[in-house]
Amino acid sequence: MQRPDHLPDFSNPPLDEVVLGVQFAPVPGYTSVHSLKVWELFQNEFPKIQEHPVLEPQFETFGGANVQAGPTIHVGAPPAGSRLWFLSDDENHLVQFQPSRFTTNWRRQANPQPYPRFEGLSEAFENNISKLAQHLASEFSYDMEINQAEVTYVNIIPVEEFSEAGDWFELWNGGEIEIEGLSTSFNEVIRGEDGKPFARLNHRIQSVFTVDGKNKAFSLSLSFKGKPHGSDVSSAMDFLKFGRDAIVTRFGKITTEKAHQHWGRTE
Amino acid sequence: MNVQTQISTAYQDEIPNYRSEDDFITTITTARPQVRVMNPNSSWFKELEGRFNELTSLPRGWDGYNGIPVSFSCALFAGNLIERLCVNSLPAPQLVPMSDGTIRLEWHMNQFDIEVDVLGIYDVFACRTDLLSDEEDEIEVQMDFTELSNWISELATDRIGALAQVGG
Repeated sequence: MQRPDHLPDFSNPPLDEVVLGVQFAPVPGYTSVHSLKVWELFQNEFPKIQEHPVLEPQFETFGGANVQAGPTIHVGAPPAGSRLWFLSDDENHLVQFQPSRFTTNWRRQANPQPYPRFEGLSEAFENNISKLAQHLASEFSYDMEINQAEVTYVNIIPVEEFSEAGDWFELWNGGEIEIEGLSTSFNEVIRGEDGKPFARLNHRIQSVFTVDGKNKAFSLSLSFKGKPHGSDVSSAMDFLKFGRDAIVTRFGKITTEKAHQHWGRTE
Repeated sequence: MNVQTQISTAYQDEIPNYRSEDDFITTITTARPQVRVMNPNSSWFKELEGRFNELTSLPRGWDGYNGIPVSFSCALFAGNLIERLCVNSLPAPQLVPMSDGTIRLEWHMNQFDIEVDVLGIYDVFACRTDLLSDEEDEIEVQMDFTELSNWISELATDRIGALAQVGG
């Protein structure tokens, strides 16, 4: 897979983390005991393990009077088990698994490795999810039914002062305001050729500090979530690719020319 | 510079594992709530929470035949639907369990009958009968509740009163 020519490209983008994920109908009969065999599928590439709380199901829906309605209702027994992180040795890459979700993350760490680009990351994700789907089919006679997918890009933009927001974001015109902190988020509903909504592009800009509290930065997070047109792996990958195009295009539009020069826009 | 070294940015709505104040260590089954609601937005869901608990806890054969309890996925999606459709000035729908584990939402008011069958995740079939004109509409709904939301808004219209006014 080649990077599409129409997307803006940067030699030194402020990218901090990229996430590709799918949610699927829970695997019937799966228990924590089965997790060892799942880890064995990925152990060579991801030898480290961490355990995290499971995530509840989430669905992107549209219309209705309550646009703020969120995933606040949970049905069924309280979540048992865990979400496992399988991490690479350098911890730049990880895959997350719970019996209703599979996710991969690339993140910038103290030992910077070159970003494998979406093409590399998505190819690896497709291979891994296909491996998982085959395993679940043979062990549980389970046909993976994907009902939601997500792609997220998180950028960290170091700044001296948060009042510099206008230097980086087209949509900010703060004038002379001395900004103590900035937090904003908005969604765009994404429609298909038939005019029907099928995904949301969430934009979130937040002022953040480094862990030691000494340095300031803006976190710009763009998330594309929704329902792929089919429930198989191939449909999910099409959805993720479409989402990546939407995110990268939007990133180019909401950030300034000055910022583009700083990040080395190559076209 | 990963400023969020301890968390992943995927699915930021994550919540900690639920833990009740008194964890049970016996294996004796006790009636425990099936539905957990985090900061509900809608008055309808608050009103229906108990009913959801009841329907997802039905015993097998509850209908005298082979009826199964309402499935978690149907209840979950019905809850999502209710949160989005809620109009505070209208009564909450009646929740009716189906013997195959699906759930139906029903409104009967202002000469409209609306029945919404939640058959699964992103799988909803809705039917509206206009008792004044005897017309029937049917729609299949996946992600977009806009048309269904319009039906609910129209439920609020006092059509008999409006007709009387027009008639003078």
